[in-house]
Amino acid sequence: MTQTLSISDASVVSAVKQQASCDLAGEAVILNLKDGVYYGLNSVGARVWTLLEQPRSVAALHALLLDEYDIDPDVCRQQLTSLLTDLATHGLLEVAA
Amino acid sequence: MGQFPGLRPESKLLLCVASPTEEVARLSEVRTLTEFPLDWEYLLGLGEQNEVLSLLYWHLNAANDDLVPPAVMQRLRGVFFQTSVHNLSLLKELMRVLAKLKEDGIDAVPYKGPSLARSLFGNVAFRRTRDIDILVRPEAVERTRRLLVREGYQLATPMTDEEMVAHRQSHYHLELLRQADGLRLEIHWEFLPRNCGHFDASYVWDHLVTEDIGGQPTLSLRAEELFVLLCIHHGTKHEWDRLKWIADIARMIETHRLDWQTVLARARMLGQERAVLLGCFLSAYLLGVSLPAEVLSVLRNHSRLAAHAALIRGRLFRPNRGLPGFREWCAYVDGLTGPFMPKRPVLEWPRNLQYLKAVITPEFNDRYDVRLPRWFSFLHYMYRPARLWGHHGTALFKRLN
Repeated sequence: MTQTLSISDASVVSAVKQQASCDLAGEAVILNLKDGVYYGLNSVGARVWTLLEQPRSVAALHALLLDEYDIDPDVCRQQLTSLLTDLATHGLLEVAA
Repeated sequence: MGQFPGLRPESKLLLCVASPTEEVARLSEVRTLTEFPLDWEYLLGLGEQNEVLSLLYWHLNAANDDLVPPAVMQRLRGVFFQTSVHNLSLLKELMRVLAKLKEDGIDAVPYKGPSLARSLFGNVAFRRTRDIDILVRPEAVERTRRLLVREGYQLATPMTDEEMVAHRQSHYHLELLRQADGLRLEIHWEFLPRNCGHFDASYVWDHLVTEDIGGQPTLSLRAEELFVLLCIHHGTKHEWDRLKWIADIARMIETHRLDWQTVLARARMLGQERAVLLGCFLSAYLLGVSLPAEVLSVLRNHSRLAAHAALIRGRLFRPNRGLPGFREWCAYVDGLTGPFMPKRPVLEWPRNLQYLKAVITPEFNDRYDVRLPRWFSFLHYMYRPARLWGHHGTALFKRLN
């Protein structure tokens, strides 16, 4: 199911409940229990997924990632927004405006 | 776990990764143990036998240890990934089946399998599971079977109607296989075979809780009930024949706030206090778990658990789960230390008689392989030595010296 939504810094995001995931020691695999589809995440994506276990604002996520990774803030924001949009598109993300 | 002089470093490494104790200390010990010259093939074989390879991979990877050969890490990574995907697929099917049963008005309680892995470890990759187990009420078994047949399952062993009636009277579950891929699902009306004692499923139905699994409210066993059940299943039925079983119990003690008065009362009600105490003893003895005062005070009155625990330990780390020899077993008993040890001498009998008793006492498989009426059950004491002879051959006598 395709969702069209906008994710801003103020958006509060979290993982949907109807999923199960495995931390693969540097990667992650997510099973969407609604449609039975599996998704894979690389190491940074897996870290974001872990952080999404609790509802957080996008701004807070961005700040946490800047603390943990040596990355340009604008690049980080762009890649984070892209990941969150992907997750939402595949029904894995809850977004509160 | 710094004790156990004489235990190979490979075995100590498996004990370390199976322990639920504090992660920083565990990783430090993993690094220390990998500095020994390890027989990696032996380690992998023992880890496979004890079903703890996922935990081994996780810790070796986290320890970031250059001392592990890349080929070994590659193999472990493969096992870990395979376990993850397999367990997730079991979980997916479990949720789908539970939803179907609910639509049909059938109450079902999942236990063991992927739901247990999730409950104990959070990450289902850590615990290898083989199948899906669900408990339904006895009167719902046939409806459940028909629903699952519509969903693509078939009986693992085809039965006529008459055979089904006989099966329902003498067994405790039905085994089904999904036709597409052989996925195994067991429909239980009882939890355990009668040889394990009577674990009253009707009592359990009156004491269920609701748990959120994948966003779905799901009927579940109370933690205390699950703990007692696992001690009986892992101990009485499977004789603690793999480290995975002991790791389950240890992890439940560490992560679930159990009401120990309820646990012990339920164990006594079922006549399974010894099974529960042995599970607790093994968790402390092998995996360093701290036991609560209520359990310690009762343990001190069960001195003979130590002899049994020593036999179990020897079997865990012997390829093909063979019998530890008498001298090896004595060394294990001599090494038993801890606040959970009884105050009076561990063994009232001479060592050789204690060992003989531990060895010849029939286990679940002895009683299950050869079903005998109760008044002939003494014959199991003859069957067991014959079975051990078949397993060890003439080496059995060397082990008894």
